[in-house]
Amino acid sequence: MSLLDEAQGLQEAFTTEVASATSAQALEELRARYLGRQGLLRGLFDRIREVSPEGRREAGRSLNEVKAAITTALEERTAALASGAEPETRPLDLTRPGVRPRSGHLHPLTQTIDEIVAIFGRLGFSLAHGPDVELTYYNFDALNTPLGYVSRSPSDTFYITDDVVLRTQTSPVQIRVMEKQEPPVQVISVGRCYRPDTVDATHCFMFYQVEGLMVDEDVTFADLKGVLTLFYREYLGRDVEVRLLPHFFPFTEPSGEVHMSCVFCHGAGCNVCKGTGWLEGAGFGMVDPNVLEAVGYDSERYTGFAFGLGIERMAMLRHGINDIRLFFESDVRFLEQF
Amino acid sequence: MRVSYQWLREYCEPPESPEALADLLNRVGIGVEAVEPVAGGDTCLVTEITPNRPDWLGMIGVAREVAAATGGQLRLPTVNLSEGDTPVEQLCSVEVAERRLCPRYTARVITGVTVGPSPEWLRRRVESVGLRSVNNVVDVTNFVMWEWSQPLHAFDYDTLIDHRIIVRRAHPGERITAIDGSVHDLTRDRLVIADARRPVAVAGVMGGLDTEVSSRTTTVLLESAEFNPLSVRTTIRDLNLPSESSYRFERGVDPAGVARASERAAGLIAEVAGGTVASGVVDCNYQPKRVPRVPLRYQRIRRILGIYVPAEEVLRILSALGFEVAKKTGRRVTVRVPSWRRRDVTREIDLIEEVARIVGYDKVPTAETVRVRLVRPGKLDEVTRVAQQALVGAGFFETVNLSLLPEWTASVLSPWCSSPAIEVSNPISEEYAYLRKSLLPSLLRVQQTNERVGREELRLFEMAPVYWPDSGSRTGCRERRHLALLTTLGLLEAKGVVEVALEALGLHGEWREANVTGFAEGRCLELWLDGERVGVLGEVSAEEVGRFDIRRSSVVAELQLEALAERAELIRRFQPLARYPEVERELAMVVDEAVRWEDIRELVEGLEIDILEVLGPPEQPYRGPQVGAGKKSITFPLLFRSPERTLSSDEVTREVERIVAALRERLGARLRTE
Repeated sequence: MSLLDEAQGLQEAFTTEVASATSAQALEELRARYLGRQGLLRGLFDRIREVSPEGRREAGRSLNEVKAAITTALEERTAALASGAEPETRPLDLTRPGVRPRSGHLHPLTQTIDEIVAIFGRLGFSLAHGPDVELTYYNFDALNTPLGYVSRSPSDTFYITDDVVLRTQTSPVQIRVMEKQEPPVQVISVGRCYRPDTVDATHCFMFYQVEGLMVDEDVTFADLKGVLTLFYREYLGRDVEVRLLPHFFPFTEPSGEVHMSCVFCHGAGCNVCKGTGWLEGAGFGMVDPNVLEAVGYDSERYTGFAFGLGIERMAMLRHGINDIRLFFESDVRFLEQF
Repeated sequence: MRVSYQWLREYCEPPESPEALADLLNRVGIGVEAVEPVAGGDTCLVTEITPNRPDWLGMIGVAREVAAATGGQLRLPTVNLSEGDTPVEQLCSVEVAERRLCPRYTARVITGVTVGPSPEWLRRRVESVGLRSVNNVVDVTNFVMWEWSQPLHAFDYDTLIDHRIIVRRAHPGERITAIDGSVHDLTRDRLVIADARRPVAVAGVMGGLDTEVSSRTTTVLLESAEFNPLSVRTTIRDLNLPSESSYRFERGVDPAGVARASERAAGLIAEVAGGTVASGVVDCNYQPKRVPRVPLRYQRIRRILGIYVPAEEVLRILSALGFEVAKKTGRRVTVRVPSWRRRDVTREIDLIEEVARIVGYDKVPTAETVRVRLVRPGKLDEVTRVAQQALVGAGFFETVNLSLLPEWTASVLSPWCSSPAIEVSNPISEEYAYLRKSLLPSLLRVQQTNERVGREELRLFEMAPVYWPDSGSRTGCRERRHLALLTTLGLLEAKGVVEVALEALGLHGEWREANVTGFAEGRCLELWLDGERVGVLGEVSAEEVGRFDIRRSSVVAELQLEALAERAELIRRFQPLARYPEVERELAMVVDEAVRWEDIRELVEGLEIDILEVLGPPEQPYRGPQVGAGKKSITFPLLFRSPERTLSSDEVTREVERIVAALRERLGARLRTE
């Protein structure tokens, strides 16, 4: 190996050693070993005579460069140690898990509601509120649901008295809003609803719904289709297929129900969609003229649409939750997943 | 309602495959839940009918929709009825005692029948929709019911005492054995079909075993009737006796169709079982209504649906659905509503729905833009969001708990309202019968749930409505929104979290010690804002720990969100940064055990030292031999700063000495170092 190669090797060796020097003492020892009177570099300088006369000047210059480099590195390291810019002296096992600060969690229903409210907020719908304990009048009569209608029976509705119920849907808020203001109206409402369902994996007697209402001159079924399609694409993703099929509600005419392609099996059929490839979504329709007249709106001049959907179902689809009861059991092993 | 594909083809031209038929039915509003193969290469579509369309509970009703949607023909079955010579009035009599509960009752008699197995075509039809083939007469009644959504019943004529039918309420003490073998005690609420002596059928629901058609029957009395839907519904529920017949009566049958079904069935019975149909029909109580007419303006369709439908198409659709044109102009049409749609179609908007269904919702364009209105979130919503964020940021988990509780839970630990909780009159169980007045009991139950699965360190919160009885409210209930939290990490931690939330809302409350039921004595605080009690916080009492079966006492707090929202300041005002440096000192004072931080703080603040910027917070007090019995040492920082100049060390020392002197004199304190 030539002298110059050795010098190169020396500089590399020094670079490695100086990086792990962690005290002034260690640095001094290094300085002595490399640059001292008996040092390694000195030894190389002494061997310049081995080089041919023509190459000696070149060799000398290179060795001096190495010396300068070593000296500089030594000075830098000394300064670094002195200023305390020293990383931990104790060895650190970087593969250990990080120490996490404790984090809280919003309930998945809240997260779902927030997102849904935000989507409709972007479309200009403001948030209205109504009570859980509601007048039978607002929950049924004003919504064109006459006495004797099957949903009014005690097997389908919780009664406090004959005139007061636990609301079975968020639709009564439509009436409350329309009673308090003139058209145009553009609101959503979110809240708890109640039906005497036997509690199982897909049903609970308490559940959350979001309701939407838009009333103005010249609001049509096409506008309703637009809002619903937009919402489902935003929430479930662009490749979800949405079908609007005719249905029946006493307070809308024409009425419909959204059917969306099953997000679990993408239409192939599974036990969530019971093999059909489709899931039921929002109920919707054009507000029945009887409802508008009951709140004093001129049904010739104004038209509107309304829709309602269950929040738990949306959250279950989004997160793959298979049992509705988990939302209300408050097991922290469930809550901490969201 | 089960629709057999092969059977349907008798009345219309359905699309090529059952799957295509299912798609068509969905698109007109007949929801198809399943498509199942049945014997003989046939397929059965299981449909879910909405309550406004009882006519879809019959094959003709479904076929009519298919014909309207495809533009094809509807083929109504021909009625082959040749009547004999004997007038039916000579053979039986009918009396309707309850006119409101039975708007129409018809009876025919067929003599000389031979009851036996049904011919193959009839058996196949009946079985294809999941019914059991019984005998030729009974199968005809089921066949015709399925065809027209018109339930019929066949009686063994000879078992009817005096050959009399009386439609009446049951007498108390009467009892009937139904054809499925079940025995029912009857009350005045029940409408029955009776003969001269006893009930022979539960009207609209099920026939009696004693009068059913069997192999011994030689003469049949055929009932075709309409019964009041509400009365049928309560009967089904009270006797727990649902049937295909009751299902249709409950939803409403076509009063005009009653006679047609009777003719059809009589003709078929004679065909498959032999015999002679008596001439005429006994028809009781029928008051045919005037045929209603409904107008439709063509331009209204565009206003509601957002598309233009040509008048010819509108007329075609309405005709195909059975609406006959009474009058038409270039701008509007007036139609006669067919008898099977009278309950459902009464206004222009109802006709527009018919047009929309058949045209197809998918033909209506989807608007690309939505008119947008400026929205401002309500203050309570903003406050809710800020409070949620503060709690989540402090490491708390949000819970959502049921509003309904058992009685004992709803009435304990209720710091706000001492009236009894509002009760639901028809709860699904005692576990969920009362509306909660406070969120705290729910959180304690949640603690128990989680302890059971080994999670003992808990930080939970809920924001939800609570319900108080209020005679001043129209519903008798006042709802308020509350925020409640639970922590197993100590009272001061809970207090700190509440303070963080209040700070996020720009609020400064006042804590006062209190004695509240359900909380441990000496470990409970109330939060006051502007002279109003808005919060409660404390350690749960031993009694509640036992009652809720939790392993240890946790700390809970509940705040009234409306009260906080009223006063919340959500926009921060900037405070200029300090120009001059602070001087920090620390004092360790030994005081009697009874001395509290509040006493020290009040005393020092009372000295009104300008340059004292921050006092405290104190560290954990030290107790031990160095300090002496009955005493404790409290260490706390003092931060001095002047807004105008740099303070000198001497100045600060002077003030510290003033403080020490005051503490010494008024609280008997001494420096730890003395």
